[in-house]
Amino acid sequence: MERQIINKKKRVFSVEPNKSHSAAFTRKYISHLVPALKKLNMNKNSSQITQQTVKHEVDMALALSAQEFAWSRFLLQKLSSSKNPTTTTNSSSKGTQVLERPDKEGGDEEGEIEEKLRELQKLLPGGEEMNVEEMLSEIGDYIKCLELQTIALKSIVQDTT
Amino acid sequence: MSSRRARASNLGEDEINELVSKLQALLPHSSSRCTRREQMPPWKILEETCGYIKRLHREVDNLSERISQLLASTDATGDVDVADFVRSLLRQ
Repeated sequence: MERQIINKKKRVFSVEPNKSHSAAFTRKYISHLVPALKKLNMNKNSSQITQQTVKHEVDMALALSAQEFAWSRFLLQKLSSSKNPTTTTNSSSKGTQVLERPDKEGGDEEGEIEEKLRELQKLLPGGEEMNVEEMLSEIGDYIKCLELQTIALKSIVQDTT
Repeated sequence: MSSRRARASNLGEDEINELVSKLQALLPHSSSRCTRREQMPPWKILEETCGYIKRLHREVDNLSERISQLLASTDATGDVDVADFVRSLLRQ
């Protein structure tokens, strides 16, 4: 039946050491997002559906599905405080623990690294509140969740068209 | 600041480089240039990571846009079926 089709298509995931973790995240993500989208759909006559409203739900689902990570808590905080967030890449850099500017004294490569680290901090929710070690370890999980989120969203779009 | 190169973190350079090199494994393999995975310099890994995250963010934004258009265009009866989504995910 459809089983044959499933076998022909290869998994999109690359070599994930913990496949069950990915599946668990995706399940949670969908279970958060789909009801939220349904609600939007039902209320669409009273309130307009914009990219922002959908993005808000998308981010919310992401944060709720990955609560074991620090960044998700920051993201949740950000979403709860503002009903109309812009995007997750909001660069309101009022960083408390932003890496200090190097003096650019020879060995520019190190200055480069610090600058890149600062940039990375801004991209990660709550990155500016973390120290470098924490940030670097969280960023890996953030990327993985973003990838899974992208796959989930793509399948939603494909299925509805 | 008396120190010339003020470090906000308590990590040494080596430790940072080690953590950063682990990020390389997460990046999508652009192995068109090098057949075997060469060791990228730390700043390069960070740069690629930043770029990749921004790309992912943009993609999510685009997909959100499409979803909002889909929702806006379908009828109120256009129901979103959870089972269908899960099935389509399993198909991937």
